[in-house]
Formats: sequence, C-alpha cells, structure tokens
Amino acid sequence: MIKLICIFLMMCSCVTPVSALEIEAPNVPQSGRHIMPEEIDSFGDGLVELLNNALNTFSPDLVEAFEVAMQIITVSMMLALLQTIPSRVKHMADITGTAVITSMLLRSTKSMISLATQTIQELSNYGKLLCPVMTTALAAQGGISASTSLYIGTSTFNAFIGSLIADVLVPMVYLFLALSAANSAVGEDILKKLGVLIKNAISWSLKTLLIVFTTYMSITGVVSGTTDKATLKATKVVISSAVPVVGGILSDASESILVGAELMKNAAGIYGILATLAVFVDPFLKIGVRYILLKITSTICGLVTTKSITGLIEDFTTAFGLLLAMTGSVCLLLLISTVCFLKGVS
Amino acid sequence: MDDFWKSIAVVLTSAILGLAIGKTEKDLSVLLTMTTCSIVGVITVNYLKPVLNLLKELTYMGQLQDNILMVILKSVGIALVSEFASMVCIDAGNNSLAKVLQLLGCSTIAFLSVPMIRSVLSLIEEILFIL
Repeated sequence: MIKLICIFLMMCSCVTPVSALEIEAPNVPQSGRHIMPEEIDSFGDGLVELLNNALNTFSPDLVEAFEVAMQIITVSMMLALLQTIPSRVKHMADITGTAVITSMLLRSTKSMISLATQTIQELSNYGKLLCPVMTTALAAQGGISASTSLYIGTSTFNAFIGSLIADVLVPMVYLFLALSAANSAVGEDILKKLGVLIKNAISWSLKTLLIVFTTYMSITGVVSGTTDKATLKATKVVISSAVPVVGGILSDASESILVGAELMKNAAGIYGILATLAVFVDPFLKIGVRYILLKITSTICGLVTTKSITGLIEDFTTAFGLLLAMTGSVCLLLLISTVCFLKGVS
Repeated sequence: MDDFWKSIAVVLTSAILGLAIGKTEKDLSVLLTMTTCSIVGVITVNYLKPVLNLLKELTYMGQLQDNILMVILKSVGIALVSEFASMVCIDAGNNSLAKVLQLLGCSTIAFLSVPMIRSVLSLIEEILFIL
C-alpha cells in the first residue's frame, strides 16, 4: 500500500501543466490600430474595410499637400515675372525663390521622412514579433526545416533593410535634396550629376535587396518545403505501419491535427498581413498624395518658371518617390515572408 | 487692351523721337526714355493687377505666410526696377552707374532673402541633428 502511495505521489510530482498550442498574431501597432478592421471574416473583406478606413482618415493630409502645392505655384508665378530680365539681378531673385521653395518643400519632406522612418521602424518591429509566431505555426504544421530557414532569412533581411534605410539611405535622400537645392541656386552641372548618382544608388540598392530576398525565399521555400513534405509522408507511413491495429487511425488523426494547425497558421497570417498593411497604408497614402501633387505642381511650374526651379520641384518629387520605395520595400518584404510562411509545406 | 496698343505707340514714337533728338539733345533723349518707361511701367502695373489678385487668391488657398509673400514680391519688384534703371543708365552712356545699380539690386535682394536662407539653414541644422 505504501509502495502504491509513493508511486502515486511520484507520478503526481511528474505532472506538468499542458495546454493546446495557441497561435495568435501579435496585435497591430498603435499607428495602424485606427484603420484596422474590427472583425476579419475574410482577407478580401478585411482589406476593403482597411482601405475604406484609411481613405476616410486622410483628407487633412490631402488639404495640407494641396496647400504646399499652391504655395509653390504662387512663388513660381511671382518668379515668372522676372523671365524677361537677362541680368544678374534676376539670378539673385531666382536664388531667393529657390530658398523659399526649398524651405517650403524641405519642411514638408522632413516630416514625411520622419514618418517614413517611423513606419519602417514599426514594420520592422512588427515583423520581429510576427515571424516567431508564423515560425511556430509552420513548425506545428510539420514544416520544421522550412520554418527555420524562412525565419532566418526573414529576420536577417528585416534587420538588414531596417538598418540600411535608417543609417544609409535616409541620409542619402537628405544629401540628394541638398545637392538638388545647391544645383538649383548655383546651376552647376556636377551637382546635378552627383544627385542623379545618389538617386540611382538608392533605387539600385533597394531593388537588389528585394531581388536577393525574393530569390532566397523562393529557393528556400521550394527546397525546405519539399524536404518537410517528404518527412511528413514518411512519418505517416511509419506510424501507420509500425503501430499495430491503431496505426492507421493515429495516422489519420495526425492529419486532422495538421489541418487544425494550418487553419490557425492561416488565421494568424491573414491577421499579420492586414496588420502590416494597416501600418503601411496610412503613411503610403500621405507620402503618395504629396508625390502625385508635386508631380502635377512641377508640370504646372514648368510652364511658367525657370528650368532650375522646375528641376528643384522634380527632385523633391523624386525624394518622395524614394521614400515610397523604401517604405514599400519593407512592407513588401514582410508580406512576402508572411505569404511564404502561409504557403508552408504544401 | 486699348492701353496696350497706346503703350506700343508711345514707345515707338519715343524711340523715333529719341533717335531724332539724340544726336543734338542727348539729355532730353534720356529724359524722354525715362518718361516713357515710367508711363509704360504704370500701364504694366495696371495689367498686373488681376495677376496680383490671382496671386493673393493662391496665397490664401495655399495659406502662404505674408512675410514669404512680401519677400518674393519685393525681390521681384526690386529686380525689375533696378534692371530698368540700369538700362536707362546704359542708354545715357553711364555704364558704371548701370553696374552700380545692378549691384545695388543684387545686394538688396540678398538682404531681403537673408531670413529665407536662414530658415533653410535652420531646417538643415534640424535635419543634421536628427541624423
């Protein structure tokens, strides 16, 4: 009897609390919370609601961008009155106009660069939270080697692109703008060429990084996905043949567990994609509307004012384009990685 | 548009008159040029009134600060006036005076644009501080 009680107590001491695996995507960051859909029935409905919410909240930004465009057109029209003068005095007035337009645009660009940097940081941080969840979900579904390699790739590229943009590309955008303003005031060709070089370097590095990342994810997905699929198949065969009588039932039960894990992974992935988009869409619209309005402004100013001032406005438009590209790259990276996780071992 | 055609007529007449009296009465010819320039200038300002009104509307729409508007308007005005004055000096045969006037125009515009350039520099400073 004593022996039985001792064995019972020893067995009780070995008991550890267990629960079913919970896979939930991390909550959407504060900046995207106001446009995140309340309930996500399907990806399509969620996306439509998210876009509607984003469009409803961005009218103040449209007004602000419109005001900046109007200010630039006004100053350009005033400077157009000097077009008939051939002397140095006109050049001096042009420099004043350039200073005014640079000041207006730099103020707007500075806030947008801060917004883009903040968004990139938030997306990067959200990616750091989402990736482990998706990795766990994929591993639970049987994609152990796929989840590991996808996690390594995503986290490495995520960290690298975040640092690259914050430490190298954003200062390069400022340098590009400084060169552009100096070129507009002084009219030196070498400054323009340097500006073009910087612009090309930024777009080239972003493109290369995305191509390398996409290639890595494709190869990893195919190779490790196939390995995991083969391993799963082999395991099922072993279970059904090695365990007598109930082997087949166990094998079928494992199938339903895997389906459940896949469902959880899909839910987490869809929430993750929508949360990523919620963080990204608002800044994208803000920068995008400024980009489009500045494009239109530069076209209008091209009709009335000098080439140098039109060039300055175009260069600021290019800077907004580069900001869109940077933010878009980080978002795309997260979306691609989440989709790769969703694709899983199939 | 009547004023436009009248101005053309005045300018052409004064040019011919200037040629006629320029050889004997150069001082009168310069005076004639100055008077014509002033008359045409006044007419030009009249034509520019709707443009200035449009600029005011755009300023209102764009919420442009008054000081920026004044700097640009003053710069444009100074550039135009100093240019015309220096042209008159060249016509009168005083190239050095013309150059001095242009220099004065440049200096005044530079003086006016100091706050604007300071604002750009402070923005650049802020950006460098962020970086």
